[in-house]
Amino acid sequence: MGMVLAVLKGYFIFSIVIILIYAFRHFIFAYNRAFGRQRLFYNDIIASDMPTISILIPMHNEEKVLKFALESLLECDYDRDRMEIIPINDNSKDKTKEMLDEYHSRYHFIRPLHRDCSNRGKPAGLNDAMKTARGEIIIVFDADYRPAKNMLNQLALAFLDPEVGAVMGRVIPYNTDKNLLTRLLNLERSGGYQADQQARYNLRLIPQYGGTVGGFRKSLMLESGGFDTAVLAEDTELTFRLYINGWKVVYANSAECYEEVPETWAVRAKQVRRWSRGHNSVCFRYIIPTILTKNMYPREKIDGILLLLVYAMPFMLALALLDSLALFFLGEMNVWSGWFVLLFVGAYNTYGNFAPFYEISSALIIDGVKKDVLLLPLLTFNFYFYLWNVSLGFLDAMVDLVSRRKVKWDKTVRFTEESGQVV
Amino acid sequence: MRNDNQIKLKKKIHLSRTYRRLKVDRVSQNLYLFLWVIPFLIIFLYTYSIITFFLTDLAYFSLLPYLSMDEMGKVYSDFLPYFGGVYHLTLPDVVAPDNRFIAANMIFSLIIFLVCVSGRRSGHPLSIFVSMAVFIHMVSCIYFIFAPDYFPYTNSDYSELYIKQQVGIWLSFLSISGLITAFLGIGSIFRRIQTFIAIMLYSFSFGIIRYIVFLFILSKVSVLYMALMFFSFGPFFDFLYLVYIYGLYVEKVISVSESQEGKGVWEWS
Repeated sequence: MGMVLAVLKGYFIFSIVIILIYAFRHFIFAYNRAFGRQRLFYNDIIASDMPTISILIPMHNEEKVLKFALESLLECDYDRDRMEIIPINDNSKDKTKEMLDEYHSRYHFIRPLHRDCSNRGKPAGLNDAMKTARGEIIIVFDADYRPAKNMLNQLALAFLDPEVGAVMGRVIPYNTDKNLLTRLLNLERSGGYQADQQARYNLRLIPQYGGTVGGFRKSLMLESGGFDTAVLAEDTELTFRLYINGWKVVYANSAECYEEVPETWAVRAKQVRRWSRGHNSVCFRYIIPTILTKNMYPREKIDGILLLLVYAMPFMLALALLDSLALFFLGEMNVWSGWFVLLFVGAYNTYGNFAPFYEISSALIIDGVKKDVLLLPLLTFNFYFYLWNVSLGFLDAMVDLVSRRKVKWDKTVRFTEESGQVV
Repeated sequence: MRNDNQIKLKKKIHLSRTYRRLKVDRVSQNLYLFLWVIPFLIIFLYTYSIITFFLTDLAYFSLLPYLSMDEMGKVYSDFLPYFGGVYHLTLPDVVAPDNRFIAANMIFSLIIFLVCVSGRRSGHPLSIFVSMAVFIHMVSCIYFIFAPDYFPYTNSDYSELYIKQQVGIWLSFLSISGLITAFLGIGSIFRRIQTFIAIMLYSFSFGIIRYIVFLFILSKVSVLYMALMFFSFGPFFDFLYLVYIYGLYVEKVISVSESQEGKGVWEWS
């Protein structure tokens, strides 16, 4: 019994220490973004010889949204002789194919890739599209995204720096006023990009390539065998693959792109669970190489490890809560009651992708977002929401690892104004 | 020739949100931290014994209409080394709940659980929170069915547990509120102090009221609810008001920084 108690108490202390590390990390990010000297992107560079880019847009039944993405891209001020748009029609059953062919007939540089095969999913689609892409630089957008006019220029500029392997832009929700969930997601996005990503870029840590609103060098991906179709979080996988091989990912805070965020909790739960599953699979695969590589600075390694473990934390925390429940019924909570609060302090600060309240506050001050800041306390309830759904994703990843089962790509449900229905 | 309208318009233009940042005022940050937050923290560390003494008195007099004087008492327990112990109320010993009461609680918990996981409520953050609270309560029910004699706490033990947890909450909140208003705040020190005091006043009031309510439930209703109260209505709820009050402060900061008078708080990278 003594041994059991020692293990339970040890785990309790271990959890508190880990989550306090995350709390401290995010405090530094919040402070750095609010008061630190900001590392500018490459906006001031004027290049006459911009790279040729291929814009890849994975699509699966996107008839309701694809025109917004394509029309926004057509408005972009990038030299049309140096760009091509490849919408990847991945086994769509709606009018996506017809609509894309119609665009192709009007614009020669829109070259749809129609896939009708069993090997579905974003990574597989991107691999096929890269083989036909003419550009050296690949820019990726999701079908529900609406890039700003100068976005392509900004993203492509990064690749004039020979150390840069990938670039990531800022994502801003456009359907924020739909309901409480979309407002809360807007706060999270603000914290995640304006504060978290920019601070990591400032501090020369690891800004993360997010799989959309970003780009990478095609040659790097093709040389290393393209995207792994067994990985759901191909974005995180790319980030770590690049860093381990000595490349950098840069963050362009000024390259803003508008996205549709989930409007129902069910869709959000599914999305978060998928992210967690994919991210944790990458964590299992890359945590040792991240520690061992000689191509990363110590600060990058520390940040990389914390980043990889971000989606494992809610599961660790769920165990810590069960642990404290066991200690309670074993009559051992007396010793720890004063410190129990630290578990919650840490818990509330832990979800890296879902920045803590003070980091979001810093971002909102910078963004000048007034009224919605009062919704911040409601994020507290997300604590249990993420605890549950991210933990399920972690368990999915564990089962994937043990059983070697094949992962199935699952698209996030779209909500469009025009149709008035869920797509 | 100057166009006044254009000049007015120009004055409204703010630095783009992309790379602007706030001016650091290290003097006010340090003054606030060293002359307000840290002294406050030190004073609290050396006075929490006295605070718990008065808190216990308050709880004693509040519960007097419901419990006799002989049933309650005030005792001192050790807590943090160097800073002293805490006072807490002792209460009458617990009689384990009978099986019919436990069964009723189990059935009620199951119904709530089923409501939470069914239909459109399923997966909603509030449903998940309630489901977890119900889970904890069901564990407690099962414990009291199979091992009522082994339940390790009396009401007095819980009272001690609560006070220690509450001192932990106050210490954490003093540190968190102090740090966020010192390092992540801007503008007048007065407003920061106002926020800091509002958080701590609310925390003290909430902590005392919750203590009295919890002790009342344990003494007059059942000890069965001890785990539920400790885990589900503990520190988690304290964060709601901490973040809300801080949110009010941030809203004011944003209003000022976005106004004409607040233009000076910004710097460009």
